Amino acid sequence: MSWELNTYAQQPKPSEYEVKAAFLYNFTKFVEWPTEATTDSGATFNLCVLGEDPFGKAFESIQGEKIINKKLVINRFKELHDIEKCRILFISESEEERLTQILKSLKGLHILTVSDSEGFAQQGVIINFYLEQNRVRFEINVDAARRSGLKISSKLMNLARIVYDLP
Amino acid sequence: MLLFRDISIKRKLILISLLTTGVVLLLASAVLITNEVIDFRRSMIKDLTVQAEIIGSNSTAALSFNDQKAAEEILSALRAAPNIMYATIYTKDGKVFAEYRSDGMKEDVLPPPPRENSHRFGINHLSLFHHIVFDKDTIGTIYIQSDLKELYSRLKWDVGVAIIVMFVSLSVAFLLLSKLQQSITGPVLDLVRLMQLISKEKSYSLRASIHSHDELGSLAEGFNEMLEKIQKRDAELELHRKYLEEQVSGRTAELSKTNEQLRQREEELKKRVKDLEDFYDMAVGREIRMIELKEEIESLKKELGKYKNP
Repeated sequence: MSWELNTYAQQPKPSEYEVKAAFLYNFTKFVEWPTEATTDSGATFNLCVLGEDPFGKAFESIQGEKIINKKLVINRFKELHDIEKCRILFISESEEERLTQILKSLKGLHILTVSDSEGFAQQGVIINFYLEQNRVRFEINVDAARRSGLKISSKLMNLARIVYDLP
Repeated sequence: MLLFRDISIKRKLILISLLTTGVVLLLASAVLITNEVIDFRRSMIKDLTVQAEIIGSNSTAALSFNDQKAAEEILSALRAAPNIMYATIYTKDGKVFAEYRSDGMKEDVLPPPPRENSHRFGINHLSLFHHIVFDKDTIGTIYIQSDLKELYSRLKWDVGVAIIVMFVSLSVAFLLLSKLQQSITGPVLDLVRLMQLISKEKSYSLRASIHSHDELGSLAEGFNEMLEKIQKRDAELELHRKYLEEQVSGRTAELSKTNEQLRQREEELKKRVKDLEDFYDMAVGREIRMIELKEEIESLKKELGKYKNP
């Protein structure tokens, strides 16, 4: 179970990316995709990583989990193609330079964008991880969330630092 | 102290009725209060379960994203429920995730090890474990402890009300009984008074008045019947006595008459006897005279002889 990653009390202490992987999995329980998005994309729930993958083995614990009766599959991309079948897109720090372009090409697609780089949220990524006293926290860009057409639970919002698009 | 069997019927009636009323009221109150307490306990468990459910549901995200601060904030909402003394959220593997203590709660209370869904009533608290289920998975457990102040104040109130109801009911019952018992004691006391009067004055012509057509009515009727019989017998005896007296005086008159007759006869007889005696005396005198005469004759004869034969 991915669950065990959620407790720091576990020994050995899970790594930062193990925690982030578990958080990615848990996000799926607090985010609602529009029905057309969930029915269209076949039998798998695709979690995509764009750019350099910082997770590595950390994904092992959640690979194959069921999400809304679909098997969770991790896809790694270097370039933006077939991106429309992704439900969650983790945008690696390596993509910083072309972030605006990436986000533009995602317009109209119901994809939950996630990153762990400072400033990404303000540029239009929906959820961005950050560290606070060595603990993984996240911020949510509510403007980006609204644009994506995804419904984000208020419970998740309550835990997040709320940010907006840069003016 | 007076023994029950030695006190008056009036008091007996009142005592019996008050005792019956009191015991019945006591039983009814006990049943009602017990029912109330059971009901209240049930609703307490229900309320606490609902509270646990709400907190559990609110803390799913906090548990999922390991946000203890958020969980503690959620728990602090319990401050609105002053009966909650203590609450804990445990992670899935039983570690304490967040804690809540009411203001009056001591700091040294340790969270109990998490358990399955259950509740427990202590002397002054109700505690409850409730699993936090999210997306079909149990992701944690919540423990809530409530005090029982409300239950006890409810119980106190109920007992107070029961005591007041009992006091008022018994007072009303006493007033009613003081009036109503007369329908029973009245005829009885009448009979008693009548009995005493009759045995004192021996006047059997008195009659008991009949108030009702129940057993007491029959008693009075029976009493009257008895009096009637006694009176009748008395009259008969009187009649008999008079007849006998007449008989006796009749016979006495007869006897004195006979007596008189006898006396007259006796007198007559006495007279006859006297006559006879007189006659006898006379006859005997004559006889004696005869003998004397004879002797005179004889002596004369002798004297005469002498003279003839010299």
